[in-house]
Amino acid sequence: MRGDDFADALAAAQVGEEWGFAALYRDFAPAVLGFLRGRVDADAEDVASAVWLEVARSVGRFTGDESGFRAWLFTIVRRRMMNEYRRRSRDLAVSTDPALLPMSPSPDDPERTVVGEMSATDAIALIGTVLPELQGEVILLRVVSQLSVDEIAEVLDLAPGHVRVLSHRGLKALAEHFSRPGVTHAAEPGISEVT
Amino acid sequence: MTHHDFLDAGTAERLLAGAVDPADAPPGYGPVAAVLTAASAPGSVPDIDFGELAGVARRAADRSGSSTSRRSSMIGKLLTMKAAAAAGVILLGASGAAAATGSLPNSVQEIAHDTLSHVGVDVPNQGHGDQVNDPKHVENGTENPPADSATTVPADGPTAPGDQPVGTNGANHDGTTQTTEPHHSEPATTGDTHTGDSHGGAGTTGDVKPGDGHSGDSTPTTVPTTVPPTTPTTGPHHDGPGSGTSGTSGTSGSSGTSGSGDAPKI
Repeated sequence: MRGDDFADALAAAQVGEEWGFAALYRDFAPAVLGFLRGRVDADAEDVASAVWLEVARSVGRFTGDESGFRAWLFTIVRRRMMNEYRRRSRDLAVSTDPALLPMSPSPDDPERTVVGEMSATDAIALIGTVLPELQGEVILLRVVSQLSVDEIAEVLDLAPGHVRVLSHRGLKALAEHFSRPGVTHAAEPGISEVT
Repeated sequence: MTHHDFLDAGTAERLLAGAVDPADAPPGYGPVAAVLTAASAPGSVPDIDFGELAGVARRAADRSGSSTSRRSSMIGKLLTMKAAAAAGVILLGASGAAAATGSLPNSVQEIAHDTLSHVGVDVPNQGHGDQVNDPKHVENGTENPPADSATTVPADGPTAPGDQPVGTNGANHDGTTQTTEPHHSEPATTGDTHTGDSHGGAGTTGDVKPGDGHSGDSTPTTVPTTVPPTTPTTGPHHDGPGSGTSGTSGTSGSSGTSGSGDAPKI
């Protein structure tokens, strides 16, 4: 979305116009859902729904441009994500039935295949699984949600320089992961397979 | 050191932006570029009910608007109340000052005197207040209604010269109080200080009986209990009733002045 289009859509949403929300959702929902898929996995769509409800409740008070809106939106996303983490912690405290534990593939899981046909969902899941939490968030926000360094710094309440360092270290961590024994590069470039 | 230790900032930014083809990636970063490219591909999103979102936004806007107007209304009310309170304080203060100095119109001053005397605040009556503080006006003290003094004189008993209404106080004070009149020039501010009393009677115990001056009570029954009627020095008895009468007439101040007025006579 560009300039005036965003401003029009935002203004429409702020007064409760349906088309305004449709336009915002069309442009921002993939980034939101992609990020959440890397963080809360199977609950991503539920959390995303909660995010958009909160957006609807709060959008009337938002002031700013598209970049500001993106940072504001992902601040909501992270808050909802943290709520989901807390909910899961409570559930785990109540029941430790292994069947109820969230499933996440091990980086060395032979069933996981990293190949050229890797879907976006798998790639996001891999990033979320391989990287430490903060590095994973930074990489997902940069790559999946396409936020700028400054926007990520605002969302995570970090200095931009810190965001750059985290993203750099995330890239190196991913490279290290693929260089580990058991992870072969079946078809360079860009295609790897887990054997 | 592995080959992926070398990654310059520019290349890192291009990788993150999905601008590096896996074939062109630095050694060891081909798979990374492939994963990042795959991750950045727009995914599908489920449909949601935009009408519901719009409804939520409208309701939130309505609530926000109503709460804002409610807040404004509350602030307005508070400001109004504060303004009213401030005006009241100023009015009371001004009235009090005027009453204390006897500057009010006579009728109002009399009301103020009567009212305030009940709560222990002594203010001049009918423009005599300034006389309390001004010895030059002591003669005016004799202007107290004779009727009051008349009613009190009998109560005081034989020792009180009946022909000195408020002056009876002064008469009583005569001998005893001249030197003890430090209050003389002070404004009467407390109920039991009937300036007149203190003026005239000064040290006399009868003077300080709050009941006397306050109530303006000329009731004889109270007087004897306070001052022995037979003692010559009990002139102050007259003060009791006298001040009472002055209180009755709203002239405790004037009784005081009368007392003080007597004092100069001495």
